[in-house]
Amino acid sequence: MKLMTCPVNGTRPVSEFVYWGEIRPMPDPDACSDDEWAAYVFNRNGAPGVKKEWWCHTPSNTWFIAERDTEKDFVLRTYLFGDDR
Amino acid sequence: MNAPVRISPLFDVQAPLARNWTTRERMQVVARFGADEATKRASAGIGDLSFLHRTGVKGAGAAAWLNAQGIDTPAQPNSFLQMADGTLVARLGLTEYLIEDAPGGTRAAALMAQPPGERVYPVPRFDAALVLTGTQIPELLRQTCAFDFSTLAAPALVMTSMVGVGVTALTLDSADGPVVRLWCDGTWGGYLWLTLVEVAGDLGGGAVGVEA
Repeated sequence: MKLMTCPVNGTRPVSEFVYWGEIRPMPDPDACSDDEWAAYVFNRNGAPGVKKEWWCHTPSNTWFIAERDTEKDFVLRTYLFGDDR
Repeated sequence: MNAPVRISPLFDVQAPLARNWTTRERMQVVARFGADEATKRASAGIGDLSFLHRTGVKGAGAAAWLNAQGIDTPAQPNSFLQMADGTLVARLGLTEYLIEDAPGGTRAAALMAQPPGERVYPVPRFDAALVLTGTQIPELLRQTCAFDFSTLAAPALVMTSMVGVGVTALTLDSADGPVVRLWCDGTWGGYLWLTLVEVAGDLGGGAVGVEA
C-alpha cells in the first residue's frame, strides 16, 4: 500500500488522495510573449525529477502541496499552501 | 403536524428490509428490521441516525461566531466535544465545524435561522449518519477501511475513506463496547449502508432499527 502524508490528517493510504498536477506558475498574459503563453497553456513537463504537485485528501477536502521525486516516486515533504518555508 | 416531512438518505435501500417504521424528529425511520436485533446490536449493529438535526459552518470567523451563539468549539482540528445538553460539535478542519443536535435538540435549527456573521459561511448538511455498535466493530472496520483504527485512542475524530466513500468517523467508548459514528455524503449513504450491513452480516450482525 502506498502512503501519503496529509499535513492535517496524517499518513493515509494513497487511495484517499487525488493528484491535481504539477504547480505551474502562470505568466502574466499581458506581459509575456505568445510563445511563453502557448508553452504555459499547451506544454507539460514530463521529465522526471523533484516536482511540486497539488494533492487533495478527499474525505476532508484538504488541498496541499507535495514535493515528489517523480523518478523514484518518493514524497520528500508535504505542506499546506502558504506554509512553504 | 406530526406527519413525517423529512426522508432519510437511506430510505430507498432500507425500505425493502424494514419491518416497522416510526417517526423521529419528523423523519420517517425504520423502527425494526427483524426480531433478533439485540443480538445483532451486541455483535455488529448498523444503525441510522440521519434523523438528528445537524448543520455546518466554515470560514475564518466561524469559531468566534459559534462561541457568540453559545456553542463551544474544540481547540484542535480533527477533534470534537459534546456539550452539556448533548450537542455534538466536531471540528473538521482549521475553520470548519459540524454541529449535530442531541435527540430533541434545536441548536442546529437556531443556528441556521441566524444571519451568518462576517467571514462565516453556512454549510447545509444532508449527511447519512450511521452508528456502529458491538464487539465485532473493530473487525468490521478492518475489512472496510484502510485506516487502522486500533492506532486511535477513543474518543477520536478521523476523516478517512471507507469502502471507497469519504467519511467522517468518530470513535467513542461506551459501557457496551466500542461505538463508531459515521457521517458521509447522503448520496453515497445507501451504498455505504448496504455494504456495511453485508459485511456485518458475515460477523453475526446487521441492520438495526432505532427501537432496538
